[in-house]
Parts: sequence; C-alpha cells; structure tokens
Amino acid sequence: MSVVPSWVGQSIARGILTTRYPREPATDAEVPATGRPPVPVGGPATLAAAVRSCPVGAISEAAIDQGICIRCARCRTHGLEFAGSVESATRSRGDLVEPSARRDGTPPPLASLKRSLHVFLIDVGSCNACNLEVLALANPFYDSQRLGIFFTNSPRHADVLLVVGVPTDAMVEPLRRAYEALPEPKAVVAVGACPIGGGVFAGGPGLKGSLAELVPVDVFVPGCPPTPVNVLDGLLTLTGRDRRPGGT
Amino acid sequence: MDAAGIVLSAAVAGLFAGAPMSLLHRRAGYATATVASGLLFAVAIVALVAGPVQGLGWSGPLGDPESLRLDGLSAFFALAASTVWIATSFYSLAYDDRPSPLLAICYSLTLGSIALLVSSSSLVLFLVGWETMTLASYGMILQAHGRSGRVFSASFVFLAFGEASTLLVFVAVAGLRVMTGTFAEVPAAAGSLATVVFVAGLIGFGLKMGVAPFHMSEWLPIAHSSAPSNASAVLSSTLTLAGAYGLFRLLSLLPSPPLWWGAVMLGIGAVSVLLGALFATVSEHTKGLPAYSTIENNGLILVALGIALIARTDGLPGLYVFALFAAFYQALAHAVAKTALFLSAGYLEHAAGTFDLNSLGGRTRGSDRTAYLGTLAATLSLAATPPLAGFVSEWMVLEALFQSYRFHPEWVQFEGLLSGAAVALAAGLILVAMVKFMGFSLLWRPRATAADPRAPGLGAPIAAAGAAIVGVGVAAPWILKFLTPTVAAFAGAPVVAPVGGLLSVPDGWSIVSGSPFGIISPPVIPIALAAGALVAVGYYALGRRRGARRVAPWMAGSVPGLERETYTSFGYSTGIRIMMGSLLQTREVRAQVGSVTRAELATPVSYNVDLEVLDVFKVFYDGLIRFGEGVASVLKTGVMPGRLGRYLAYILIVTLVVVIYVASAA
Repeated sequence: MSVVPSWVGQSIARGILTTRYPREPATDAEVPATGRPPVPVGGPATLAAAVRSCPVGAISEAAIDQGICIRCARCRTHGLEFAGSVESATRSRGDLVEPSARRDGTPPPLASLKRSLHVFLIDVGSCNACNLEVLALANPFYDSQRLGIFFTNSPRHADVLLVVGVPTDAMVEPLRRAYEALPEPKAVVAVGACPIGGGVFAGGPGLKGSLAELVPVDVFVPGCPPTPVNVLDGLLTLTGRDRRPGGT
Repeated sequence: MDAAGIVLSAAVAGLFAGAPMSLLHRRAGYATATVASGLLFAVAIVALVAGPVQGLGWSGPLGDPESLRLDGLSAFFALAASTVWIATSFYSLAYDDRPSPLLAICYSLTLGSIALLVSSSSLVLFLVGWETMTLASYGMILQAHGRSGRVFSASFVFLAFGEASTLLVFVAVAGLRVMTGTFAEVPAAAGSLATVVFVAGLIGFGLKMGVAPFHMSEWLPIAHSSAPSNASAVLSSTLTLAGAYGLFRLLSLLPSPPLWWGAVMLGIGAVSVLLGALFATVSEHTKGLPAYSTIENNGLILVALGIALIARTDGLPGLYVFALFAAFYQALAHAVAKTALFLSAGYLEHAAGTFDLNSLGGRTRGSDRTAYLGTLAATLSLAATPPLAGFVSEWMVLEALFQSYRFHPEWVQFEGLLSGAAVALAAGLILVAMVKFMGFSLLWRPRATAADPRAPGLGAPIAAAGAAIVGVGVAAPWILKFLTPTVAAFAGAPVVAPVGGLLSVPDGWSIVSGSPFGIISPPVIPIALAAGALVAVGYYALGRRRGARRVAPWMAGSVPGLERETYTSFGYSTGIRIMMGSLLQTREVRAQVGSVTRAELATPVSYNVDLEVLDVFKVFYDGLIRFGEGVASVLKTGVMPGRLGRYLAYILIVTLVVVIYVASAA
C-alpha cells in the first residue's frame, strides 16, 4: 500500500486543467459555438435574407443587435455563423449593434481596482440559465478566484452588481436597494439578453424593458446564456484586464 | 419598638390594607400598595445599614412570642421584593382596567402575605403567610381575561402544586419544632430528623421556585392561562423569591449540613438551568419565555447555594462566602430584570393585543420608547450582558463553579464540572431566547395590527425597572458590601464582601473571587464602553465631514409590504428545536397551511410544517394524573357501589379485629 494517496499521483499526471484564459485566448473546447456572436460570413449584404428568420427581431438589413440575440441559430441557414469574438462584452448598448469592439479611450469604470473584484449576483427574474453559467466561474475549471474575482453574500461587500434576468416589477425595489448598498466605486454588469433588452420575455406583463432603465449599466455581456468566458471577459473589462488589443 | 419598627409594621399592614381599599376603587388599592412597598423598601435599607428592626410583637397561639422582625436575611428579601412591588404597583394603576376589584384585592393580599412571611420572626407566622400567599396568588391567576377551561385548569395546577408545597413546608416546620422544641428561630441541632426537614423543605420551597422537576408549577399557570401581567410579574419575581427566602431561612437553621445536601441542590439547580434555558429558547409566548427563564434563574440560585453548602462542608470558607454572595446577587438581579420583562409582556398585550412573538414587532418609536429601553435592559441583563445586573450575578455563579476543582471527594468535583458545562450551555441558549424576545417583540418591524396603539403610563415603570437593572449591575461592588449583613445572618458569622481592587482599579471597585481567582470591575466596564463609544462617535463625525454616504441597511433586499415573507420568531429558534431534538422530544406534526382555494381542494394540502416540542416532565405528570384517575375510577365503580352484605361483613370484620387487638393489649 502506498503512503501517498493515489489521487496525488493522478492529479500530477493529469496536470492543470484550469483554463488559461485570459492569459491565453479561449480555445474552442472552452467556448461552445454560442459563446461567439453571430456574424454574416458573406458580408452585410447577406443580412436581408436572414431578417425574417430571427424570432426576436435582432437582425435588420443594416446590422445585428447582439444585445437581444438569443443564439437560437435559425439564421445559420441564411448565411450567418457563430464566428464573432469571444470578447463580446461592450461598455455601451450601441456597441452591441455596431460590433466594432471599439475603444474610445475612456478609462475602465473600475480602473482603480486592478487586482480584485468582489461580485454580488442578483437575479431579477431569470430562467436560471445565466445563474448556472455565472456560478460556473467559481468551479475549478474557470476558477475566478485566481483572477481575484470573488462572489459575496451581500452588496455591502461587493464592487460589482452582476445582474441576470428580466427586471420584474417585484424586483425593482430590491434591485435599487442593492445598488444603493454598493460602496463606491461601483459598477453594474448586465449578463445575458434579458437585462439588456428583455430576451425572449420582452414585452411580457409585469416586466421592465431593460436594466438600463433602472440603474446605470457599465458593461453589457450579450448571450442567451453567455458562457462563463463571456462573463469573465465582461468582469475583466471593468478593470481593463481583458484581452482586447490596444488598451482601453 | 422604635421608629423603624413602627414603619415596618405600617408597611406590612399597609400592604394588606390595599385589599379593603380596593373595594373603594381598585386604583386606591394599588396606590396603597405602592406607598406601603416604598415604606418596606425604606425600612429594609435601614435594617441592612443599622441592624435588625423589631416591629409589632405578640404572644402566639402556642405560647411562643411572635413578631414582625427584619434581620439581615429577611431585610434582603424585603428589599428585593419591595423594589419589584414599587414598579408593579405603579404599573398596575394604569394596567388594571377590569371592572371588578378582585384582581386588585388578590394582588394586595399576595403582597401582604409575602411581606408577612418574610418579616415574621416565628415559623408559625411564616406558615400563615405562606398559605395566604398561595391562595391569594391562585385568585390572581383566575382573573385572566377570557375565563376559559384552560384558565381554570392552569390555575388548578398552580393551586395543587402550591398546596403540596404548603404541606411539605409544614412537615419541615414541624420537624424543626420537634428538633428544637420551639417555633422561634433558634439554630437546630443536626440529627436524623434534619434530613427529613431538609428534603421536605427543599421540595416544598423548590415547588415555589419552580425548579426541575416541579417547573410546571411555574410556567403553566403564567403562560397557559395568560394571567394578568402585573400578577405574572409578582408571581415570577417575588413568589419565587419567597421560595428562595424559605430555603435560605431553613438552611440557616440547619448547621453542619452533610455533603450530599449541597450535591443534591447543585444537581437540581444545574438541570433546572439547562431545561429552563432550553424551553425559553423554543417558547413563542411573550409570557412563556420569561416564565421558563425564571426557572433558569432560580436554578442558578440553587447552583450557587449548592456550591456554598459543599464548600462549607469541605472547609473552604472563602468559596462558601463567595457562593453565598453569588446566590443572593442572583436572586436580586433576577427579581428586577424579570419584573421589567413581565411588565413589558403586559405592555405588548395592551399595545398589540397578542402574546404571540410571531406577530409582534416594531415598537421602538414615540411613546413606545420608554418601554423599549426598559425591555432592552431586562433582556440584555437576563442574557448576562456586561455591565448589567444579570451579568454580574452569572459571572459570580460561574466563578464559584470554576472553583469546584477544590472540592473533594472526586465525584463532587465531577458534578461541579458537569454543572458548570450545563450552566455555560444554558447561558448560550438563554442569549438566543432573549435576542428572540427583544428582536421579535419590539425590534424588527411592526406586524400586528395595534389593538390599542397607545398604552399610557405603562412605559415608565418598565423604564424605571430598566434603570434599576443598570444600577444593580454597575454599582455591584457597593451593593455587595451593602449585603454583608445578609450573608452574615445566613452564615452565622461575620463575613467580608468579596470586593477589592487590582490593576489600577481603585480598591472596592472590583469583585474578587478566591484570593484572587477571578476579578471583574462592573463600574469600569461602562467607563470603558463610554470611552470606546467616544472614539467611534469621533471617527463617525470625521467620516461624515469627508462625505460618507448614508444608506439603509441591507436586509436581503426585503421591502415593506412583504411582511409575510420575513423571518419569524419560530424560524429563529427552529435550529435549536432540531439540534436539541432528543431533549425537547421534537416531532413533526401535520398542519394545514394558508387558505385553500376551490381549485386546490382537489388535492390534499397538508404538509409537515409544524414542529412540536414536548416537556418530558409534563408527560410524567400527565401519566400520574391518569393513574390517579384510573385508581379513583376503580374505587368508584368497583368498591363504592358494593352490596349491603359486603359492607356489613366489612364492618363486622373490622370490629372483631379491633376487639381482639384491644383485648390482647389489655
């Protein structure tokens, strides 16, 4: 019988499985197809044919609104493909329509918090898909703690309010209180199509149109649901530690 | 009889005189009781400062001299009781709005009886006071609002336990009479009869103190019948105090106790402390919770007294005196704190119209504030928070327990160890109970619809009792010195109060146990707290200048209007219900929840939602009652309606037996 438990050797033999993102680019194995936004492979000219295929009206003849796209893939038969950048988070709603990943030179919202972020997750009416993806950040594979990103149990201890779900009427006041409770400096990240534009629930009874109507949103993470890497990118964007070239 | 003696006689007579005064108007009765309590308070202080006070005297029915007399021991109990009564009587002026004067009459009679038994120089007079006290308090409990069957049965339990107590006390007194040949208080010689006297006395007085396994006598009438709150306060604070006085008096008459006496008291005390705290924690009733806490506190008195007796037998005079001081201080601290708590329960009853902790809350504003402050002091004190009265007494009891390692033989050490663990566990549990009472009755947010939004005149006595709690805590070293004659009267020898100074604290500002084993300075604690608060306030003021943001506290996002979805008092203590399930006999019961709509009726809507706890002793007594009823029923149906022939045969046989016996004897 060995003195050293067998899992020690197994673990060493297996090596480090934790993702190297953002030090290295995300691999296809780490990000499923829906983690990349759809782009017209044949150029903007092909969009017109795909307009009618979109169930949420994200596609117009001029552009795709990534914010409300629910990644349903119906448009793939009309020449669109999930081929955009994994770093799909933007700092303005408009950038989601014009997929430029443009840097306008302003400093990141939480530039002063270089090394660590404390995150409070608030669900204002989600289908639970985004919750699962966000909480996957805490597992050993994504291991957000290696980047100094921690989840807290109270907004009083957090820097970032991570919002998932369509804002429902009942959650408007709790959301406002949570935002109030955050100490300065603070930032809000809208995760998923729901807080950005209502997602598949848009226009339903008892719902607000978007999170930006209620609190100022600093980063938009599109997707339905976004993958953990998308969310990680969104959080890192807050402090300027993301993978985008050219600085912030 | 000097001036003080006249005042003493007037005080006792005045307390009784409240009864006829109540016939004029109930307020006249309460006012008389307030004034008479004040007189008793004054004369008790005189007795403690200037020595025994001799009141009215006469020749008793058995030829013994009888008189009203306050020596060191009785002066202490008169002091503690009258402090309580001043608050409760003043409170009753506003509280008692019943059309009938019965409550006021019984109240005055109870007070007078307790004053009589405490200040009697003869054991016969003591017995008279004891019995009238029992009957008058039975009358008080009967005056509960809404006389239901529960009120009568709970009052009957009280009376049954009370009469059992009287019988046993009678046995103890008779034993003393046989031992000494007199009812006057002379120390009795120890003998085999002393054991009988001790056991009868311990059970008899223990019944009144409500210690395990007799604690039903304490909580059942108070909680289940929801006795009037001024009555609850008097019962819990001073009726149990009378039991403690009886025990102290009895033990002071029985010198050189064997070791097992102390060991028995220590054991009963420790079990009571633990059970009292446990049941207080899971009680959802604004009177049940304090009633169980009373059991815990009386248990602590017994623990301290047990330690004292063991220490005396083991030849540890220092610990003996310290434990005695602890016992007396515990009695005092409990009396003032529990008064405030019961008065507060009455206030809540008036203001919110309920006894259920789950539907109270949010009474910290406006005219509620005085009651709020008094209740805060009471709960913090009973949870043993520095520097309040309960903290000092609990510290002293624990210090005495820590020194049980000096005991011999080893089994007593071991008992001290187990008792210490039980007391420490109870101290933790009672903290949960008190946070629950305070948090869910006054703090948190309003949940009950106010029956009578303002209850004028009820807040002030509660706040006054709260001030007394702070005073008894902070001024502990001086009060301990003041109690020296009491302990000397009990010990029968001059004693020195366990106060001193150390670490640049002035001499006489600290309480010292052992030589020194432990030391604490209650007056320094508030000074240190004030200094700390000053720093905090200064820091806060500076922070404000730098533009601190003021936001509402984070309460998990809960918003007004969702009261039904908030944490309940029941939920707060359910962890204890489950963890202590083996002691509490917790079990799930099926209960229907919520309102049922027509659509839901198709499917059954019962869930395992309620947790019931069981008092094992109540189960035992219930079994005893069933057994008694069974025997009575057999006698009734099997023996009593017998045939005439059998009766005649029985009489014939008995006659023959008697004739043969008499003949053979002659």
